[in-house]
Amino acid sequence: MGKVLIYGTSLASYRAAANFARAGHKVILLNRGEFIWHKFTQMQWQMPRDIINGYSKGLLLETMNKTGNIEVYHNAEITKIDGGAGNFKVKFRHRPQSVNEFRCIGCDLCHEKCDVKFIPMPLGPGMRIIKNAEECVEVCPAGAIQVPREEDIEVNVEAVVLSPEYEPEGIEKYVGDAKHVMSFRDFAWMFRGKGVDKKFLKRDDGKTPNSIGFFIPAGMDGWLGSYEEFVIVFREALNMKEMDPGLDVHIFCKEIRLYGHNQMALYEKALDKGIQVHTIESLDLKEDGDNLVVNGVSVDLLVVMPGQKIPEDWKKIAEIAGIETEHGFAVTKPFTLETTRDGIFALGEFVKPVGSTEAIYQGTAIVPQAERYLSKPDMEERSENIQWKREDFNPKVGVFICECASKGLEINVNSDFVFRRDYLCLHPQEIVEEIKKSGVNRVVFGACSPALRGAMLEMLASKAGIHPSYVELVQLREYVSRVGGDSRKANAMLNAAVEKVKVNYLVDVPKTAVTNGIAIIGGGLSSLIAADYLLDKVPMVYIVTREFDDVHMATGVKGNALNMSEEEVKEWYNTLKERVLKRANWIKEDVVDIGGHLGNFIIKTDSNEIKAGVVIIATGGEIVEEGNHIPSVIGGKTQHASMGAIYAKRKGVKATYDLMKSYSLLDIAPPDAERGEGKPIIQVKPKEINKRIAEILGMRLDEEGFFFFAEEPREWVERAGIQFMLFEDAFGGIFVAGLAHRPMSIEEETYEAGFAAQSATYLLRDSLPSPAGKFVSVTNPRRCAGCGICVDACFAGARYIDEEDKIAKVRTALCVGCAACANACPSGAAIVMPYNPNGVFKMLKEVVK
Amino acid sequence: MKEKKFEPVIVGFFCNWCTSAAADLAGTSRLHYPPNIRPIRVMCSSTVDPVYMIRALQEGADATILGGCHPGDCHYITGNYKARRRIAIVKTVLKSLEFDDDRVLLEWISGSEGPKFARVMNEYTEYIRNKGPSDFKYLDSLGGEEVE
Repeated sequence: MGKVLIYGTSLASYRAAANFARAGHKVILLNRGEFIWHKFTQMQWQMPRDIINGYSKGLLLETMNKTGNIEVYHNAEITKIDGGAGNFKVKFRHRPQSVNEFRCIGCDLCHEKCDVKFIPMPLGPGMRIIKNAEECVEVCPAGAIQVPREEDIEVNVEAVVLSPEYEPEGIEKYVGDAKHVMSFRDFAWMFRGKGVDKKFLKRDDGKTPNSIGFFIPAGMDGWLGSYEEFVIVFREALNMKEMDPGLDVHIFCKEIRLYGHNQMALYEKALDKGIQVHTIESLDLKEDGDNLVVNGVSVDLLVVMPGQKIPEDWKKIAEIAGIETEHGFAVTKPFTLETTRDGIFALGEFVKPVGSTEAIYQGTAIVPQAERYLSKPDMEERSENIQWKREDFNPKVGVFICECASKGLEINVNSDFVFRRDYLCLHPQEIVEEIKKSGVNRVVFGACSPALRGAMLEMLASKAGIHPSYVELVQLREYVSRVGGDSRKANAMLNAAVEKVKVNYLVDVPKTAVTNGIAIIGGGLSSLIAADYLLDKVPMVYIVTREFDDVHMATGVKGNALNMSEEEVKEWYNTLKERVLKRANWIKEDVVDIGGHLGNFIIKTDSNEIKAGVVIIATGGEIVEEGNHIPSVIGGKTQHASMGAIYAKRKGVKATYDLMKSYSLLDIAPPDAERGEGKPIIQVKPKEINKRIAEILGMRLDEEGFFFFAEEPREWVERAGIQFMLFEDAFGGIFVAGLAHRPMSIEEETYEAGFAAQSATYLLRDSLPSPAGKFVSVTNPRRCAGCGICVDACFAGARYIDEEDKIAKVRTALCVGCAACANACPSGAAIVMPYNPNGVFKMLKEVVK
Repeated sequence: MKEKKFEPVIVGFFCNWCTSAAADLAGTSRLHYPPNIRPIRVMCSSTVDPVYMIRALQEGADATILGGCHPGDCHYITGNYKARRRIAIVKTVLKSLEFDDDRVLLEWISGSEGPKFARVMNEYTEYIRNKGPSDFKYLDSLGGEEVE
């Protein structure tokens, strides 16, 4: 089992922590703030209303609970890093939270006792900060309160990941102390939790503005920023316009840094809706009575989206770690995330200004890179083989009531066995023994919110042989005792749960066997990189392509990569190719057909047929070089200006551009370019074969012929948000990487290929359980008419019409338990277990008493 | 008949991601509301079959509330829009049977709106209390079949 230390709490580092833990390594996460979200800068400043913001803590908690591999230290600062790769000694100082947010059960005893500042949060138990902890230590039954004392700790780890967050630039730097100006964060917070509505839109003097200007300084005077600022501002501007079409919306920026199909669609939509985009060289801000005049345009309110500022403490971190920096960012070895000191990695905002998609990719791609220094992962299956109690027709219900939740209530339940205890969650062993001793086969817990200890109570029941399908949770504390509820309400709710659990069915979610092999389709650069990562982990790696693409020269924006000579890049490519082809199975044919599904794909070529659990599409693209123009749009068609910017910089030519000429780290010394027109300096043409693959797999291509695949975090969330499953599992075992997806630099290709490779290994366990846990769709064969409506309704591709029986069946490994099929089925044949309507009717009968 | 203050029973179907979270928040913030509400946690407001609501009224509830996420915030992308259409159906059914369609309420309450949750519960309970008991419960044989 490898051991990694991750320092910092950016989006990328959360992903990395979750991914290392999932891959079977021990993670020590040094949180830089007082609580988990404290310094989550990129998210808090750029997308404070976005759902990913809240999701990140959930992801961390879930992985923590599932794997037990993550340890979190709060308020931590590294003081020393000794040793070398594979054997680091890291010293750090940390100050624990006054209330341990992972231990607190929300009993509120400390609340009654002394002075507690309480910040409720929508999805979690809530954060509590205590001022004088000494008095409350004794009252806390869970031992969650501690007197925060600084402590020095030394740990041995095999690799170190540094991912400190950037700081947002103060808006005074751009606009001085002008009035009617606000930062984007304050602007977005006006609508947080309330929805976008004109009544919440207020300027600093309380007036509702009739015109809004957004100002994006990234790119001016060498101010740094990623594309993310542009995406967010354009999206928010569109929101404003949709909210009130009469509102005047302006955007002021130097270049329009939107690249690729999805982002340019945003730009076109903005123009179409009447948003005015002004390209300006510098900001000229004047006050005019009650208004502002920005570069000759009068607006009521100016919203500034501050870019990235390099914090002072980065210097200190780099010094302690003994790594080199360029312009404040960590120097990395070309095409990796490894810094100049072996075994120390940089991630996310510490590498370069990144957008959140790239940060997420990096957070996954780092695992195979760091694994060179880590011991073998501990991949033992954690779920023990439990003998479930199966008594569908002879229910005996045990009711377990927590005194903490039922304060002042008179409980009187119709049940065979009632057990009352103060703090159920603190006496896990006792519950397990009581369940076993009493011989009940169904359990109802009357306790607190399931968000707090629900999963734990369910797990305790499992330990005693009660399947989660046979467990019901009643939220006595938050729904009854805390809100002035009476005993009648409590008993009605408990009895309803008892009646419901009596008719629940036990569903043993079947596991699907998996072929332990990966097929990489196509000969793009990503194909080789992904294979390189996978060869050590997966017994069979197939590469299906006639030939491999030549390497392109859009190396990356990081100094080392940007300045690599052509020979060096070619040499790097040739070594990689040689290394991979020595061990991988290269099938020199084109794909004819792909059948099967996640876990068991069957790929047919002209004369071969191979089996694989996961498919990675990396068909690459054809590079065309014609002129000296960095194009965002040519003849009305979207192009990728990011690649052109790198090319122009590398070649050092005098170039022309239409919308953007530089981005990310290139801003420090942008390419020499003027506005104009011309033939593209570089253009990527997707391969013809994409069309055939898309048709076989039912995937979508954009106008040019690139695959659609997780274009923006928003889309990821929409796809993966259902049941809060991990992003990596959300693609049904088909990943797209590299130029098949969109034109990108080699640097970005390594991230995408790494993401695909690492995510693929998770899916390649010996068997796949349903990602939805206990919720799984089944078909009632007596009712199914075989109409296939559920097949179209299933977004996960889990349902199909069986050719023999002519009825719908379910591939459990793909089912996410969303109940879309149950919703769509006209004959009531599609059911999501363990729910059944009968239980709800029984419940309704009791609950009204 | 002796005069006693009428205490209605109101069944609430609350979506897991928004309204239940708001109810949690109301609980942790100790905002009191009448105990007449019987909350049932459902995964999404769209999982509530119109039959469930009618069945609840038939079993003796005086009113039902369906709580979901604000439009556009649904965790399942479009679930709350489906719920809105279903509520329209339930109301139509009740009206065509000449019953009071005000006894079915659809309310958008997001996870951070604990105070709004308590306020809605207070106001609606008071409203139903003034309206008096529902006579829907005396109607027999309506609602879904029992599935074994």
